[in-house]
Amino acid sequence: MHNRSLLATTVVFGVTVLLLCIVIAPVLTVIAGSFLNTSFLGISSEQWVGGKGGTGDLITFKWFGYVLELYRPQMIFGVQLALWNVAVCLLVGVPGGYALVRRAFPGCGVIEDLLLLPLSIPGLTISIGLLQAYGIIRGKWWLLLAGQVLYTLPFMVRSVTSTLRSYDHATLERAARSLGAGFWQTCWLVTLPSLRHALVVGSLLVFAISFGEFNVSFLLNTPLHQGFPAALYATYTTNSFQVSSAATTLFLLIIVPVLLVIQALGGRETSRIEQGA
Amino acid sequence: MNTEALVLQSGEEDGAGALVRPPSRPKVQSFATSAALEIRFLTKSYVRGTPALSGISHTFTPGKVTAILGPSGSGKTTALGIIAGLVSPDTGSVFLDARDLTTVPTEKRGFGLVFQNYALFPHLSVSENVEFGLRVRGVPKAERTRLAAEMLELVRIPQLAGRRVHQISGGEQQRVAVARALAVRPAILLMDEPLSALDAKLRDELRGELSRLLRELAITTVYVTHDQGEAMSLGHELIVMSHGRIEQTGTAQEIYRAPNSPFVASFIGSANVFPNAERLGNGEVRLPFATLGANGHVPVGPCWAMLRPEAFELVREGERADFTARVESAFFLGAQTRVQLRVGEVPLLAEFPAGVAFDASRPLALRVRPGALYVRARDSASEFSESQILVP
Repeated sequence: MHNRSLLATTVVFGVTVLLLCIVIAPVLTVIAGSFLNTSFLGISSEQWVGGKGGTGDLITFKWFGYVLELYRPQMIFGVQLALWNVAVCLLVGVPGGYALVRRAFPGCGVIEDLLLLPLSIPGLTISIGLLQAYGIIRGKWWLLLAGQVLYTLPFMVRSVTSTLRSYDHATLERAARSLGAGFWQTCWLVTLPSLRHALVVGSLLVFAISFGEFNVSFLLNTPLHQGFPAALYATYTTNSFQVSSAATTLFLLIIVPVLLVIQALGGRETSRIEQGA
Repeated sequence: MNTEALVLQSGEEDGAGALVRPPSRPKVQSFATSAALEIRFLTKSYVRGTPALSGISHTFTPGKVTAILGPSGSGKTTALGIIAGLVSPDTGSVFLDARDLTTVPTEKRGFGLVFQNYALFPHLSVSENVEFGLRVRGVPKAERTRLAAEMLELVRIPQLAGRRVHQISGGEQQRVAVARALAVRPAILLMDEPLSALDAKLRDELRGELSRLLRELAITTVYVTHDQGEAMSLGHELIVMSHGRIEQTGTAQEIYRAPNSPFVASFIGSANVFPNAERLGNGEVRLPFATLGANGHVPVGPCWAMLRPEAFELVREGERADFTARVESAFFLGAQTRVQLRVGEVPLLAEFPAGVAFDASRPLALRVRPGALYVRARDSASEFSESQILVP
């Protein structure tokens, strides 16, 4: 009996490790490919971008420099676009989420469901819809922003509504008002501090999603305004493995810390709820 | 138990002028507010269902605690919400010192509110919670910290000032909520079931302290509760509500002794209520189980009657009995024994002083104490249910 359970544990552990390896292997390959000189293996396309081929050091970081030089505009624009996204989602999503919970009106459930709809529609469909409806402003970078906001807004709204629903916020507002705080004072001193955590997590989520979003952006991108995923796509279609690996690694360097912070904050929130706060 | 509450109440009433102050207690300056609160003809209907309030008026005694007592759905919370300014009435007005407050928003009324679920701000410390109202009023930090410390002293938790709200117990949270409401020196203190989220032992403890605190501060207080024990021990005056109406107002003793309706009779204390009694030509009153003598000016004809559980007396051998009853069950409660009796098909609840052993096999010969049968003419009694014993 004991042996069987030991065997089962071993098998489960083995399978888990195997699956993890399968999932992580591509990521590791890409990261390794970004600084290992693969020309030693004889499959380099280095000569296409001005290298000597077959010579040099085993480890090289020159591809990062190459990517940073060539795709800096996309990287900067991607960060700018993500920050704009966060700003618009905060401005629209926070009052909107608050209204959905605290100023419930007939049909607000339908609106909340509609808000989530873009998540289940292919991104390309959203882009095509936007292009058809607003063809006149085609090529403006803020049409790209609009498409991304459609896709990211639900995350901010959900973050706000779930926090507001997790405790009796209405009574807190009443308490603040009874103590002499007007509407704006209540917002500033009670509602926003209560939502602080939701806003931080929501903003990070929106930033991460916007920065890595490809589907919606693909058709809305303009030659002058492309996000970083578009640059990644370009490196994979038109450049060498080392270059695209370096670009991907740079992408991961930006996005993984954000995801780790979201994860850490999410865990803290759970423990706070367990404490009854 | 209800009798005990009554005795306690009358004791406190008698000694109101000479309250014993525990030595550890800090000296409290009375709020000395003479704020006269009045509500006139308040009505309120929500979208669905019956009206929540159908025209209630009351003048609250300045400097005293008025308890609004009623079952859920009686409109008591709506009434409090209107006084607080959180609910706007359909018609009617709220006056404070003859000033019409009906359209004044909550934040401009200067009333203190204490909620059932404490409603402390989770992102602030205990002291910052108490300071909140002062902060909103622009009181400098040092001054408001000092005032908050004073208030926490008042509710006896000065040591918790720096704690986070989720680090303290429910009883402590409610103390913080009281301190927070009092810190702004409110004209009126409004409390919405402040103790009902606490467990029984803590509730009794806090009730006693709250009673003392409110009497010392002499602040006009409106205290909403569904718990008659709380209402009777805290309320200088009681307002009993049901179905959006005020059924009766008065002190606990007045209401206990002379309820206006079968509802009030059964809601305040335990009672055997007989909604379908009849006053006979000879002055006696016919109840479903016996015909008994009664005084009081009730016309001949249908009436309703009430017997408190303590109205019954055991009859010794050879004395005249009003009726004999079967013992169904008996509960020893310490000072008394509560006995469930049955006369024919009629159930009766009785309480006797401890020391008598009750035997289910032997019928009891009983008598109703002289003057204990309470009789009133029928008015609202007709809508009352047929059940004869109501033990809240």
